[in-house]
Amino acid sequence: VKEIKSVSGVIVPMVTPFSSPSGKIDDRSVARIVEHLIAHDVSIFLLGTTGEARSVSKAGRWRLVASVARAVGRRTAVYAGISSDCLADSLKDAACWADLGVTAAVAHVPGFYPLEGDEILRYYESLADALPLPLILYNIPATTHHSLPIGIVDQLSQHPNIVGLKDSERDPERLKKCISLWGERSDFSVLVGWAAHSADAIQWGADGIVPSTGNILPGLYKRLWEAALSRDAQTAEELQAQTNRISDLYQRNRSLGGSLAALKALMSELGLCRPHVLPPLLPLKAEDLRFLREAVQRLDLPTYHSRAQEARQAAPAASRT
Amino acid sequence: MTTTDKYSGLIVPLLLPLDAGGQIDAESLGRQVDFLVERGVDGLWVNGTSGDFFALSARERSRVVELVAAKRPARIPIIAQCGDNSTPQVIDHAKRALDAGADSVAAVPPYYLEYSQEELKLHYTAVSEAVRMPFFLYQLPQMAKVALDLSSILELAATGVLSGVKDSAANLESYQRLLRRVAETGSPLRCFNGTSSLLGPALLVGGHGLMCAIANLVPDLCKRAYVAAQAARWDEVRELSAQVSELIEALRLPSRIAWAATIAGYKYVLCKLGVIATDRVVPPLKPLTTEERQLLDRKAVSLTRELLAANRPPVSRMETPSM
Repeated sequence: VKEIKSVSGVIVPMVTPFSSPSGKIDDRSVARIVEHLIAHDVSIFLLGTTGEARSVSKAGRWRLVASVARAVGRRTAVYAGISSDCLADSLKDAACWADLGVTAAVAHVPGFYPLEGDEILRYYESLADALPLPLILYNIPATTHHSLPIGIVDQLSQHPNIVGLKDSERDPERLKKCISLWGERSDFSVLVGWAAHSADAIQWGADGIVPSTGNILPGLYKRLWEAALSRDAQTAEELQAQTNRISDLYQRNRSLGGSLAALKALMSELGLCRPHVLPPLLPLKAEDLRFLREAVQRLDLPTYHSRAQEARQAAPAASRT
Repeated sequence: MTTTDKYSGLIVPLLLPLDAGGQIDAESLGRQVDFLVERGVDGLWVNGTSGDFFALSARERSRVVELVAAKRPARIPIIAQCGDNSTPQVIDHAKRALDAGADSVAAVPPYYLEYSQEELKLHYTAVSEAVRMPFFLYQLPQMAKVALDLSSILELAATGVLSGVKDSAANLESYQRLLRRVAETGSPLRCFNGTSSLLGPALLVGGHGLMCAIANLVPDLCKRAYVAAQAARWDEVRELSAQVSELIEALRLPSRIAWAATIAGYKYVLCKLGVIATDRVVPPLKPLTTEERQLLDRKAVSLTRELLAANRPPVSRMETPSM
């Protein structure tokens, strides 16, 4: 039986909800999404690619993490990104996250120019040495144009302040290799950022999954996690197929950025947050939105907080002032 | 007739000098500005790739602009590069840069996610509307992985969003196509080539000038090449371009894969010339090794000295008061 490590399980890479296109953090949606996630007993990862981290201003990042920390009240683990090309900004964010009670910081490499292996090694070492929080490495070649070399990750895994790797490189051989190297290590977790292969990864021995579709269906991923962990492959595969259908709704035939706009549009249809994304990302086009609306009805997805309810709540508040 | 006429000739993308503690070295930056202005450059491009913009906080970026603005004569325009990953971030950098004394702004496309041409056009339009100052596109697809295509550039030039382009794509064919279409459409777009190794060929195909990083070391040579091209003295342009090619080769560090290592070489040479105090680079870029410094000593430093001595501008220009 596989040991359950402290950094493990279903970790949902949360969207960053905005109340307006200008990027103001929407505290009310934050609270709603947090309750939705905690109800299904999953952990939260803020300011990853799904959280539009590199597009959010410093003030926005701080506001988001504070808002989530307030809403969570230490009921679940909160991981938060510090990725930046500016090392000083990463360190400032991490100091702030530590004050707010964040469990660990997550960082991908600076990606503006190609780095050599020893530059990656030194970068992460200097970050981990200076951080007031444990560090999780974040491998996402689709945006950073760097694949973290496995040998370098192995060296970094020995650092006392580096506790895991979130790997979003969509390569099954690499994933198996990572799990074979570190799956049995009690002090280093392998987290898989490839939602479509969640069930496989858990059965291969991954410590956690980080699926963006978990913003919508945290409960299904939680059941998938439990089924895969208890070697109930059939249930795990069924749940995987169910979640894949929802992932397809907003990911199929879209760029990574386009899928973020579609995810938020879908969450907005379900009453979880507003559809705003930070420019240059564009909101979903009307015809795509129509398609999503039909799909929400066809698939009978659960909605969380209807617009009508929100309007009813807003009206008395306004009349009181 | 337009306010962008002053953008022509040699506009140098400044390096970012650091002190021994790794902080911005104001005195070295000041000496770097003097070094370039005394050698006849026509403008300064601040917070570009050679200036490690990506590694600076918002405050550090505007501080660099402020330091350069305090040092340069008013006739030398400052273009502040303000690229970042979202539209609000770029607008924030741009407003800070203009407050800090920049004359105009520029932006590389957002480089974390990939965006459609429609998204990029709206991005540049929103920044332009927010700042209402001359605005340059910085094309660097090797690093940013995203670029505006030619029809987007022409459209944004026609609607007054873009005033100019720094084309650092290292692609003479696309640069020539840009210049041809700009001429055909009568666009007021100011076009500059930003690839040091294409100095001569870029001048031959046209445009309004050069924005190449090698000018940090040999500004007078680059300016001479521009002036010679204006007078159609192509033999002279060819000879100067060959000298730049030789210098680029001398600066090459065989063990490095990253283009960014070039920045370390530039800094080392400027340090040996006494212009800046250290050759410190911004992490994660590795510092130069002893062997790399020795390699640069053997060829690049002496060649730079020779090229500086051989291309001193005429005395009359040196007597022009710089304030």
